Amino acid sequence: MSVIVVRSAQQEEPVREALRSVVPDHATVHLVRLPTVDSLDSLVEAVGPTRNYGVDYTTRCLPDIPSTVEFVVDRAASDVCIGISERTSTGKARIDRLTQSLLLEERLSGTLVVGNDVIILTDVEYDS
Amino acid sequence: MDRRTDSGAGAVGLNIAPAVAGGHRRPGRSSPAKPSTVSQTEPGETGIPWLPAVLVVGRPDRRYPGESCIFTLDIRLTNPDMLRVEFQIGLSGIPSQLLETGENIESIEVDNAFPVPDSDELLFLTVCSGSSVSEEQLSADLPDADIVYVSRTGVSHHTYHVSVVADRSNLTVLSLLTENRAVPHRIVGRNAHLEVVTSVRDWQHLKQVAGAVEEVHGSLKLVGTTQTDRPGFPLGTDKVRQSVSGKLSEQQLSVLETAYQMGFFQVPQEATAEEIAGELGISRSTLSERLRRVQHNFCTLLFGAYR
Repeated sequence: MSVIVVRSAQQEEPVREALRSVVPDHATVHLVRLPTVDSLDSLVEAVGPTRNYGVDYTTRCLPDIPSTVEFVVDRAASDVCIGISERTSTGKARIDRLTQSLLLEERLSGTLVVGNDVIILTDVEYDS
Repeated sequence: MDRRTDSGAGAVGLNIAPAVAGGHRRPGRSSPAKPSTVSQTEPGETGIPWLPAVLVVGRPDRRYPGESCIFTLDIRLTNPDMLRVEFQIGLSGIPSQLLETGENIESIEVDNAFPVPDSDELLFLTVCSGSSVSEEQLSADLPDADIVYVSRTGVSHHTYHVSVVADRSNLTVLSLLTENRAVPHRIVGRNAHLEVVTSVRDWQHLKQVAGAVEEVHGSLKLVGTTQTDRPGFPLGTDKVRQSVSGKLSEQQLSVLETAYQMGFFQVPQEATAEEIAGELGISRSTLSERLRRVQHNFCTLLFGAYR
């Protein structure tokens, strides 16, 4: 099960990259937004997760960063994809508070891959 | 996705799966995510062998047809993907003393550090100030450190190379990085915090280093990350940057960097002088003059003073 955190309704490319390269066929993917994103309807319509990528998806809004981290841990997501919305002056993918919370969360471990448009936590394992 | 075998020109008929990060392509997916910086490595480029993996690929050599089959071994070193991470922590030690009490000190960059017997360290710093700085002033600002020398850099009047001997606790972040086997690249104090750039092996290593830094410094803010297949210049080994530091003004560096980033020096050129000038908000003739001054200063560094 994969989680894609959508940072803005304009983040079609990060979602496409995640669906294209991370989420297996016929898998379930949770598209998660924080309250700063009004709606995912237009993004889902444009990307077409089922139509174009053959995956089942849900959309949900989580109230804050801690609840997003808990959502990932509760579902034991194998992959977590977070759209890159900004880069530092030296070209590094800028890490926001949510990404930092996930990266430094003690209960998570796995592989971190920096893609073109997404930061991907893949093969995630959970400490019991 | 297998970036390592992609870059191994000449590898035929045998795929060797990566043992570490990077193999996240799933079956049936056609266009995997690519790391944002790995593309800087050209095919055939070996890079610095840090924690290398060896790929051995055999193929029949068609130059020697006959009864026996001769194989050519293609052995190359590759580096597992590393993470280059930028983070911020609160000021402490000498950077804190200078930035919080020193008059008009704008930034302090650690150029290099060497251990001194017992618990001291010889620190080489580049100090940028809004006004002149004297050795007496620095001694007053750093009562617990021995100032070895202070020298003003060439072009920039308020940039100084400063060398001090101080207790190692003045730069704990450097000790923490090296103790935890992270490669330190940059440590700069400015705007009320230390900016640190370091390379780590992977996510687990990042958590280990961040945990060690948080334990001592209280909190850490991750700023950015990118993936790389080489560690880059460790602190103190970027000779070109250190030589240029202070020899070119901030304005000249800004012009040079903008022109470079916009592809002005590419062949064929990706941006015209007018476009660069427009980006900088200066006239084309001013741009031309500044670029010539940069070239002149570079030549001075390379060949010595003109006439």
